Amino acid sequence: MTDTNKSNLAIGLDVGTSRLVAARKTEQGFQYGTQLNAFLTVPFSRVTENALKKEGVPHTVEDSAIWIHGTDSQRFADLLNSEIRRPMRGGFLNSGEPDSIKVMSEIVKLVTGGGGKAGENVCFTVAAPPLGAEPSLTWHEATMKQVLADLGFQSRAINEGLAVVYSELVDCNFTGIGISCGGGLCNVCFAYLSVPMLSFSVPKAGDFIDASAAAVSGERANRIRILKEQAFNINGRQANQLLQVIDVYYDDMIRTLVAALIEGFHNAKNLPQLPRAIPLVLSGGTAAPKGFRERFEQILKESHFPIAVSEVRLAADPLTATAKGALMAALSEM
Amino acid sequence: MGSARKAGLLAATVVDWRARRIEDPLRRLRYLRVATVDLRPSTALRRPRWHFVALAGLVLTAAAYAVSHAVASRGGTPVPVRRPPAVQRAERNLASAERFPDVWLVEQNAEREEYSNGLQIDCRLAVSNRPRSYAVFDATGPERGPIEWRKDPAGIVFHTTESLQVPFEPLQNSTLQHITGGLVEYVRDKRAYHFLVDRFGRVHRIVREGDAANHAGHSVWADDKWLYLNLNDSFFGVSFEAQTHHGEGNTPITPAQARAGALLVEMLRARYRLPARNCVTHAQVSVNPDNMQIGYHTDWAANFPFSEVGLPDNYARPLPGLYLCGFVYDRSYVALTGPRILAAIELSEERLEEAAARRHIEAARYREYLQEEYRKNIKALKRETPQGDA
Repeated sequence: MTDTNKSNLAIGLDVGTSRLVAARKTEQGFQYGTQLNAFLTVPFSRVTENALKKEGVPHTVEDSAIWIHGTDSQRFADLLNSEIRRPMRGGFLNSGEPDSIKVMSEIVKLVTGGGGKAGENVCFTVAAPPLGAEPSLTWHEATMKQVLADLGFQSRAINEGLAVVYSELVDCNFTGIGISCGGGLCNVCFAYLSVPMLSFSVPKAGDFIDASAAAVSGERANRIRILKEQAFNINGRQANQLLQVIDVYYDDMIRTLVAALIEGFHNAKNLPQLPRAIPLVLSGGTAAPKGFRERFEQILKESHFPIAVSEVRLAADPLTATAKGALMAALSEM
Repeated sequence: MGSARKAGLLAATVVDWRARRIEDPLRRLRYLRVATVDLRPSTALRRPRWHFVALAGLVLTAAAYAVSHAVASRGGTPVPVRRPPAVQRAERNLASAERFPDVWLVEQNAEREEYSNGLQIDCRLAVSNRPRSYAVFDATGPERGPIEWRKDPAGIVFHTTESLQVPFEPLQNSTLQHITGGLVEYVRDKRAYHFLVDRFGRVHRIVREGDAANHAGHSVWADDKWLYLNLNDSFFGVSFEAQTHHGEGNTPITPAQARAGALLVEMLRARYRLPARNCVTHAQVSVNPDNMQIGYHTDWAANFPFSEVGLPDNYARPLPGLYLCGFVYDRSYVALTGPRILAAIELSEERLEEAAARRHIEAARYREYLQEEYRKNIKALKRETPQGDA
């Protein structure tokens, strides 16, 4: 089998609280598929089902209800003025959502383009344990493996922050700090020559901003998220009160992340001696708004971070960097 | 800074330097994930000496990381490279002029030999095997087939017995002696080595010096001029009653064994004019033709006390299996050997790439070509002698 053919059999899958992103290697470069990690149930009616079929909206019918999966669930939630449901929460499968596994399976199918072909390998991302906690992610990881196996994929997991390093820090020999700022968590990984030396997560990320801003403003969390992703600029000078609220919670989130970085690195044992300053790369949908990198860098500089950082950079494409890194990991094992 | 930490830094510097020369991001990542395996926990296991270990079904798990995938292929004119200090030091250490010791036989009877350097050899269980006879190949052109047949030994391969070890202390004296007694008889039955150095530092002659011993199996070594394949005939097998400590650490042999080993090496080098560079460990020479990987046996993969037995640090020598016969290595080999052999692997890969560039072909293709030539040479040996069938 040629290298190109082998490459076609690898998928990098970013399993985020907010989105699932799948990456594949093509002859032209990398190809991505994205779906919102969400769903909506509406009462069954033949008219609704026909309308969904006609518009090609991914859905399943079960128990007198229609289940709309992925990105389209958002549109219908807006139309119906209701909140979408989430199969994951805080970086892990949502234990309060009884149908999370079934829904995850449907969304994985959507984002990967169907079930696995023979020999197809998926490298999927998992969150690191929260700072200071013992690793106990077995259930989430094992369940995701089972979901993928049921779809015909061989799979292995990779730490989300490490995937960011693999995607963005090639020029530094995969040495540096990768941070994925997602919906439920910020995942941090310090890697040295591709080896993860320190990983942890911080349970304050995009969802925290959405929920907090929604509680203060009376808006729906969904709308806050869309606003934040589409037109927000973190610069401290906002045009209206809602944006000002979002700005305040962004600031809070970044300060919490920097404080966690200081604590994590301060308490870390057996870190390698670094001959030079290392880069830090930010990724994920929550890091995408303009001004995020600058605000983060400013707060980091004001702090007493124990590691010399050569630069703070934003991933080339913050929304796909993690999936690309997972794909790199999958390809590197073929 | 501790020596292990220093060694780790040194290895990291070499790995970092080499990775920066690989342009393709994926190949670079593959290389790093192989080369940094000793930084992460590894579950990969290798088969130690076949004589003493039950085949418990432990298999290598890392074959997918063969170095042919890890090394960037480059054609065209060779580009002079700036080697990192670790590699430069390794090269300098190996460049010293050869001096042979002067040792002679003082007294000899059926049970014992005594030499002028104080070496005593217990010959009571010495046994014959088939007479030594082997072919050499041109190391500068290994594709030309066997060019000369010889009967004089060319070097020494050091082994460990990987046998049962009890604490080396007075209370265990009778157990230690009992184990050694059984071990000597066992290796004698197998014609496994030429010499065995037990834990008290006693040297036992096993197979007579003029005969071949079944110690090296599929193996490759080379000096400046000659390439040697399957070293049972061409190299002495000297085994220490010990178990290899993998990775960086202390030598597993007793001080008495180290002293006796030094005397034995001195005597053999004096008697047969054996170049110091041809005194190497089994892990350096062992190969597996089935998967074309080096390091099938990993005894003395690390921590052989070259300096204590009066030899230069031969761990730093490039591995002919890699650059002359096209074998590859995997992450478990790196995990077991430690930074000293890692520098040798770097040199070997450079040699292969430079040779490929001189021939204006890609390194991967040149490696395949060398593998094919190796197989042809082994076939030729099999036709001529029993040694070909290792």
